[in-house]
Amino acid sequence: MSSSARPLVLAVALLAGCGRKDSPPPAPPEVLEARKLLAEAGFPGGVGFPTLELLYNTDEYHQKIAAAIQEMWRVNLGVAVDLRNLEFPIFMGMVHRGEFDIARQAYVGEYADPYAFLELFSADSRSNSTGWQSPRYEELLASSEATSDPSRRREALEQAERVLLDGVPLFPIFHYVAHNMIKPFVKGVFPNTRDIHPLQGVTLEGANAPKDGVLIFNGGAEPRSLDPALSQDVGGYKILMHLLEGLVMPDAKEGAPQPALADRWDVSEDGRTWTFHLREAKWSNGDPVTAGDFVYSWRRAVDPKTGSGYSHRMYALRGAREIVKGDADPSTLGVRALDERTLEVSLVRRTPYFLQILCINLFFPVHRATVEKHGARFMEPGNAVVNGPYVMTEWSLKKRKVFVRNPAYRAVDEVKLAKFIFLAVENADTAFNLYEGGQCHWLFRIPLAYVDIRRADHWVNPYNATYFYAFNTRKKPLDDGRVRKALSLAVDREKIAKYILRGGETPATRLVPPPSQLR
Amino acid sequence: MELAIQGRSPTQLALGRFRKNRRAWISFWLLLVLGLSTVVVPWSTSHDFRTQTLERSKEAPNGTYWMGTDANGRDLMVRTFMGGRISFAVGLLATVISLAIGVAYGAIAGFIRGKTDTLMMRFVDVLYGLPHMFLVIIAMAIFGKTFLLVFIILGCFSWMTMARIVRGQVLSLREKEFVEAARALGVSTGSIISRHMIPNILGPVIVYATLTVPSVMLQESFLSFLGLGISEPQTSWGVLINEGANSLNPIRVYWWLVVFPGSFLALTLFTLNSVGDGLRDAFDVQQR
Repeated sequence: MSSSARPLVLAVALLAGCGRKDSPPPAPPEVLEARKLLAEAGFPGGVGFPTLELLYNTDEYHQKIAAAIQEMWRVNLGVAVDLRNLEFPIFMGMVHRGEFDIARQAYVGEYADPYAFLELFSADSRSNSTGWQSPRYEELLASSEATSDPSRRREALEQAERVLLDGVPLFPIFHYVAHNMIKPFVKGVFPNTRDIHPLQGVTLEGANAPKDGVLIFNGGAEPRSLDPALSQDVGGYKILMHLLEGLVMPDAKEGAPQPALADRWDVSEDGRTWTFHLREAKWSNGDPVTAGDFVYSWRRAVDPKTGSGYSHRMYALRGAREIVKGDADPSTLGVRALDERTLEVSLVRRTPYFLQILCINLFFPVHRATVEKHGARFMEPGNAVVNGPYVMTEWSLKKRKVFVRNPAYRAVDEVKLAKFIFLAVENADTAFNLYEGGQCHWLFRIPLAYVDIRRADHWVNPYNATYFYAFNTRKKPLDDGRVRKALSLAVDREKIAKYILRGGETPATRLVPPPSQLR
Repeated sequence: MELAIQGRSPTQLALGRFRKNRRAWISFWLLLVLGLSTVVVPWSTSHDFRTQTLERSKEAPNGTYWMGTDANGRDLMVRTFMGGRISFAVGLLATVISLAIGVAYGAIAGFIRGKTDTLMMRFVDVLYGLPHMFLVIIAMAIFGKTFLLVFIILGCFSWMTMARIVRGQVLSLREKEFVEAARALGVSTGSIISRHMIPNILGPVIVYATLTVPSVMLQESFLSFLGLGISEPQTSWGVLINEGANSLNPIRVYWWLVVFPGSFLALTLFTLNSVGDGLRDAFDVQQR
């Protein structure tokens, strides 16, 4: 072919392709069903559907998923949505206040039980930002709590989950797996379904181990708060569990509760009264840790004035529900100090997973005089008085937090790791580059680009967590269950898990992830 | 009888000089081709810039996807050209806005002179002193991230130099005889500015405008790089380069995600600057 003819051929080829756009493949039955529902709700083919906003926190991962959902709704339903990303603390605030249409959410179960997930959407949960309520759902949750027969409990919880999924205040996308990338010289780490790793038992040994003995961990986005009564994100927990010590704490192997500040406890016949015997321990300023500290901290956590979005996790305690609602005084909470080192806790009913609940940061003690003196800044370095294995000596916002062994800790001999640093690198790629360069030793998230290259230092294990999107059911047209259902049906979770995440995550049609499902 | 030599206006002379400047002349045509391709290519290819084929994400350039695909399995070629459309549109629209404000502002200040001029130009000095990007980001935070707003805000913050240039030109022009003549004939100030001043300062204005386009394009890229520009599924070169840069990693190199949008942006900026330089040389009377 002569060179002068080439542009002509190209032009013809281009013109021949004009107007022929990728034709979508035939729609699967769920999509047909979704279209039907949307038409019934008054938006046939998406006509007249307002442009809603899909809210997520700034992150490559969330952005790719949001873009995929946006496109699936456009192709499958003819519905257009805008994407909006915000910094994590701001995003959490907006979701908490209900200022969203559709928001990205994830929930990590504090213990392996469906109730941990289902309670989130109960009417008096302060984390339910969807505005969805159902009397039947409440009834089923209550009956699951009331019964002591495991099979009846399981049935009630499964039914409750079906009611929830039928109501579609949310649509699950996938169940997580935990990804960790850990340098081989970091010893004493155990994969577990809670992805909780207390660092005091960790040692750095072997080739390439840092000579200064400092472990550098990337903690990701700044937590919304370091007040144990307010913190409700995983990032906050990873910090708090090293600063404060509760009655029981998760162990390194399975994240299961083990004796901590309380070395033993007695449970009454009916399972409703627990008596904890505290070990001798001191706060970092030398004050003794007393049962009274727990009474103060728990009353503070449940007090509506504190404003915890997490206080529903205390509902197992007698009086908590009424106090959170504002119907009773915090002093009526079912907890009292029998003496300096004996704590009595009264529960509403027998609660099989009570010890697991006690591991939640909401139940960690705080130092009364410090809280009263410093107010909102009581956890900041210089102000904080702690009773855990570490003290925080530096907190540079969006940069790093430095933790050193707390010499006043009751079991300071067991704290093998003398010092560690939490970086606050949000971008997974940046963090990975730091890791590869040896400036970071532990990542808990792997960039999408190499999540499927399973290197020896890349640990993957099931994680008790679900990724989902929540609808704001107070907003039109999301107040219509058919619209919500249509939007949920039109999302191809298989494809998102398989081609975007590619890390072994399983597509989700339920809220409760596999580790928490009852068998 | 016909004249042997035809009279040519200064503009014609300047264009002649421009055409003789090889680098500028080639750049001009290249720019035109680039601009046209952003319109033609997305329209002529069989791929849509929004369509995601998730099972074919991050594919290297191949027979189906000539420039490969991005992380969501979208054709990078059509996205690059669509991104070019936005980048060009932002550049042109913002320049038009800055042109309108700058020329009017400068002409008025220069023609009226005195206290008004001093006040107006000190205001420009104040605006110069403020960090533009910061103001743009604040404005986006207040008014929201709408598509059109990016154009307008960028335009609203890039007219100051234009105003200064125009004012300087007008200051010297208003002393010329033809202005005096117009005034003697009783032509109003508005008409003098619009009929006599503006046509006479067109040269330097065009030159400066061509140089504004690339700077605005870069600003838009920067905003998009920060995640403040335009949003999905729309794209621009800045957004594409940002995505590409994020996927640069030591293990897998998705080179096409950076190379294609990056080279298109670089080429456009280069040609725009060459054209601007060429125009300046051609219109500059003092340099010859």
